Amino acid sequence: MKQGKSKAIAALAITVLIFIGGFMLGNLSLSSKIGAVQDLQNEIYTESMGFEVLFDLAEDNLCEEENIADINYQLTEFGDKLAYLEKKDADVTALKNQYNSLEIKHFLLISDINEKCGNKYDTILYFYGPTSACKSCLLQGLELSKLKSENLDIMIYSFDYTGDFAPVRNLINTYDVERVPTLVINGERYESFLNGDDLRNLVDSY
Amino acid sequence: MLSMPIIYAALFISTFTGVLFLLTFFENINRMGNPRIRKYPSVCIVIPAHNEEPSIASTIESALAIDYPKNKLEIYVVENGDSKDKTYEIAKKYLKKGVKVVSLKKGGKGNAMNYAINKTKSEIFISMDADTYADKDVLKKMLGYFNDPEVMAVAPTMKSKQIDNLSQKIQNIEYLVGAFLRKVYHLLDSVYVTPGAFTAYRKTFFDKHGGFDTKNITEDIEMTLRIQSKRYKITNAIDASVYTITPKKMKDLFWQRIRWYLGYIDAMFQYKNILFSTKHGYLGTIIGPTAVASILYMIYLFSVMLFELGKTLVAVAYAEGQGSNPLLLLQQLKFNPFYYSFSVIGFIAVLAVLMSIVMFFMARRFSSDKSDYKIGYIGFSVLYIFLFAAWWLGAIYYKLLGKELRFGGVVWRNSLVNNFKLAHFN
Repeated sequence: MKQGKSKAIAALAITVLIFIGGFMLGNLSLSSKIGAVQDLQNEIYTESMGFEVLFDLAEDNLCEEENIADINYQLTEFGDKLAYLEKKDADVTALKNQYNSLEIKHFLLISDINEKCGNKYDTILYFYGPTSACKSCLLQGLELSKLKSENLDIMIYSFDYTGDFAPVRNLINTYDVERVPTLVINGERYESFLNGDDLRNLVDSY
Repeated sequence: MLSMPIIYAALFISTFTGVLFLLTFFENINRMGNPRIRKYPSVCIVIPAHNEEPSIASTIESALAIDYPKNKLEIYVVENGDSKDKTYEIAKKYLKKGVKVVSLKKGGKGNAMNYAINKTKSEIFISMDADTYADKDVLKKMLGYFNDPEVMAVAPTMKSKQIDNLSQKIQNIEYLVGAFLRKVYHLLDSVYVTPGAFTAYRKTFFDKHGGFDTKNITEDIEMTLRIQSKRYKITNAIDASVYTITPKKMKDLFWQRIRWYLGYIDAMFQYKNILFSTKHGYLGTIIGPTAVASILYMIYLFSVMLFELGKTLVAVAYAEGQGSNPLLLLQQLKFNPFYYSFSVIGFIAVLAVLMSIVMFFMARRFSSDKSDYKIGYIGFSVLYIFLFAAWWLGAIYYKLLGKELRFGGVVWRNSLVNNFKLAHFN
């Protein structure tokens, strides 16, 4: 053992270096992803601001504006990426709050457009919880993603029921959300899981 | 279920041992040759045989063909336990070639070997299974290690004789990986496994410390650890090839491993003082403890995989129950590179795969293996963890709650529940 001790120490040193290197590269990769999500957030923010200004400038023309709907799709992508980073234990609270603000702004904008242009878009507010507390939330999220991919004119906004961001809490109180999953489809509240067929029927019946 | 501290600890230990093994191997890569025999010692090869009619003749032929001075080599065939077939009659045909053939009423491989140990005057004693075949130069490659008086046993490299189906292809890879590990254990003075099918022992060890334990289901494992416990050396000639017929059916393989692993567990209990003992160098401080840890880790990983599989099945059933298409769950797998980040776990896993590939090809190169390994390697990489964990779980079950098992001529009743009953109710 005496003559071999240095070999064990060398192996230990190499292993420690491998681990330190691995952790450093892992953190680097995660921060670059956070950076990418921040860029996406800025892009959505700028576009969203642009539409708000447009709305104020020329209310009537907005009924013909198709690109507003695209933001909702971008928001979905933003939300998915945030959920992934959250799972990786990255601190994305600030980004999540900005995401929720953008969602609410967009929802209000779409509500205004619906009022002025005759219910052009269907809207779904989806309140979810962590999978440990909400067995069906994962599946509900997947059903909604599928619905969105089938019909881009359905505006879907997801909100974490357990978050403490004031505007989201306000929305929760406005719609009397007491459990998850809860969906508010075109202003109507549904307090249970809805599968693809249920969702399509409810949206079509409106 | 998937506890991160356990995963990190296991990754750290496996990376450390992998690095240590590769460092050790490459440090000695130019010294892999075997020592030349200074003075040819007399050798006794004993072939214990019980119902071995299909293979006994070719095994005896293989032993006779070994390139070694004939006046220094004696071969015993010890038919034990009243074979129901023609093993004894076939063996007797080799009397005229100088093979000593004996029939014992008593069963058990240990009894057969002890019989020959008591009869022979040879300096080196070799046990050879009756379904085993050796290369001609095997003794010339192995026996030079006995120049060192501290060496009490020398192991060759075991290879598969037949590689027909997937089970045998996987075992072929397992044996090759084992060949690399045995060489590294030799270099670290920590060999704790020698093949029961063909290992050379210095006979004086038996004279001093007794013969094989006849009640042990894996008398070879017990002997290896006995040698280690007395702090003698066990070495390996990686290029000395010996071939054995590996089980073809998964069921036979399972029972072979239950016997081996129960033997390990019993031997570990018997020689527990070796574990964590600095007196036993690498074996006591690193090799022994990490071998035990790796078994526990594999079982843990196997349970995690079963748990995750169970979770997926529950999710599928739940989705069906809710009127959703279960295929929807596949949407969780995203094809955007954003969702695949570099993680220390993935990094180490890739590194571990690379290290195991290096080990495998080193074993192939130094044991001059020419077998077709591709399908076996894929099968080994994908299935071995499940097989290994299932064998160990089986062995642990029998160790805890088993009643009685019969292996060849030896009965095993050494479960904890039996021992408890014996201690308290008899």
